[in-house]
Amino acid sequence: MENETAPFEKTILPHLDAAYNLARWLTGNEHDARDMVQESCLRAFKFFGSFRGGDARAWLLTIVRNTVYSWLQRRQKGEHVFQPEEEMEKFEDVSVNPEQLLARSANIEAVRAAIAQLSPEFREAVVLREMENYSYKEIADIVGVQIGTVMSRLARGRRQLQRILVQSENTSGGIVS
Amino acid sequence: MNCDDARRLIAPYSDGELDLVRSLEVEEHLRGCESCAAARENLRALKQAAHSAYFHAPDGLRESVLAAVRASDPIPQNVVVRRAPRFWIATGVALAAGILLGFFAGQIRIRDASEQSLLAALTDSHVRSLIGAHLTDVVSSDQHTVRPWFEGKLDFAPPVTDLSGQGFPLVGGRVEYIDGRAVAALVYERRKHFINLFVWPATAGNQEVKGEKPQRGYNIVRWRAAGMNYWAVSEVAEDDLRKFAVAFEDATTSAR
Repeated sequence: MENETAPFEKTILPHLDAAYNLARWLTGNEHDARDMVQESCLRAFKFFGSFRGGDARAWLLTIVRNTVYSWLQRRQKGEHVFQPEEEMEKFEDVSVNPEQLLARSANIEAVRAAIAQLSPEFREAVVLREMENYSYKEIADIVGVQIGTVMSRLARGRRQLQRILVQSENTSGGIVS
Repeated sequence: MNCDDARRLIAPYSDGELDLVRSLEVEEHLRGCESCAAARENLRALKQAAHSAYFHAPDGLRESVLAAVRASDPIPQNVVVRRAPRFWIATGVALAAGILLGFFAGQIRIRDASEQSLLAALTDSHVRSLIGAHLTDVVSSDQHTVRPWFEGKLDFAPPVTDLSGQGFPLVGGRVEYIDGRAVAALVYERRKHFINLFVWPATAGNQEVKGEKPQRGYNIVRWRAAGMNYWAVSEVAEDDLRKFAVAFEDATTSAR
């Protein structure tokens, strides 16, 4: 049945890295991320007829996102996947200098550990912006929120990220794994 | 441009979201302001760091996805074996009648079973939407916000209408996967209770509003109109759900 799957393979499979990256960041581990990508691709294949051209990567990522959140909700049996934003801890700005941050950022494991600590809605905004290079508008479309929400999530996610990175350096002086 | 403005614009500037004039203004400020320039450098370092944290797909994932896709049936068709006519002549009228009887009984059973699984799936979706944070993907009481949101997410355009005037304000919507297809879930409120209205294209003609057997304490009414299936699931009383159905139909019929 290669003929039937060929258009799908050509359009969707080039974005497997993006699908995996998002799933990996939302699930937190390789095993679940693989499962989620597999399930998402099957869904994407099933609904490929409803894909009307345009950004196939964004289309796939929307499916990945839905798949992962449905799964998380089933697994957590109703625990909130997202924390209501107004209840989020307010972070104060910490004073940092670029050298300090740059030095810290060179350690990819430390960076990953820091991103993993962000709450999911901030994390996905950072992933879509910095790793997939999507514009605010595109992120808003994928996530299904207003552009203003994307901007505030990004701003707060970045502020938290910066704080976590600098603090983990100051307290431990080394890698937290 | 003062520092407050510049600090606010550094992120959109670094993300390439500003127009040329604004970008130049930010750049000019950064040239003259050390502390804002440092903030920009911090952001740049952070962006680079985050970018480097990318996880590439592990070995073998592509192959396993390919294998799964190729093995899957792209379009789940109704598998009803139509072999009755061949048996007609070969085995005589009596046997054929028997087979036909069995065939129809089987079809009814299949329909019952699939309706039952549909009812269960819709109820599950309703319950999930209440216990999780995932009641809506687009939150808006404005039908002109909710309707376009579905574009590109579905292969059909569900009619969306606010019914605040009739006591059923629109809360928002989301996309659900039910029974192997993407369906629209419109969320309405009725005195602090939510109603999930599931919508997807119908293959059969119009059908009156009809109450289904309550599932796990949730009431369900369904109808078909203008080429769409509508299933409303909620803890509100069936009478209210019927009122909702009528209000929805009135509003969308007059809009058509």
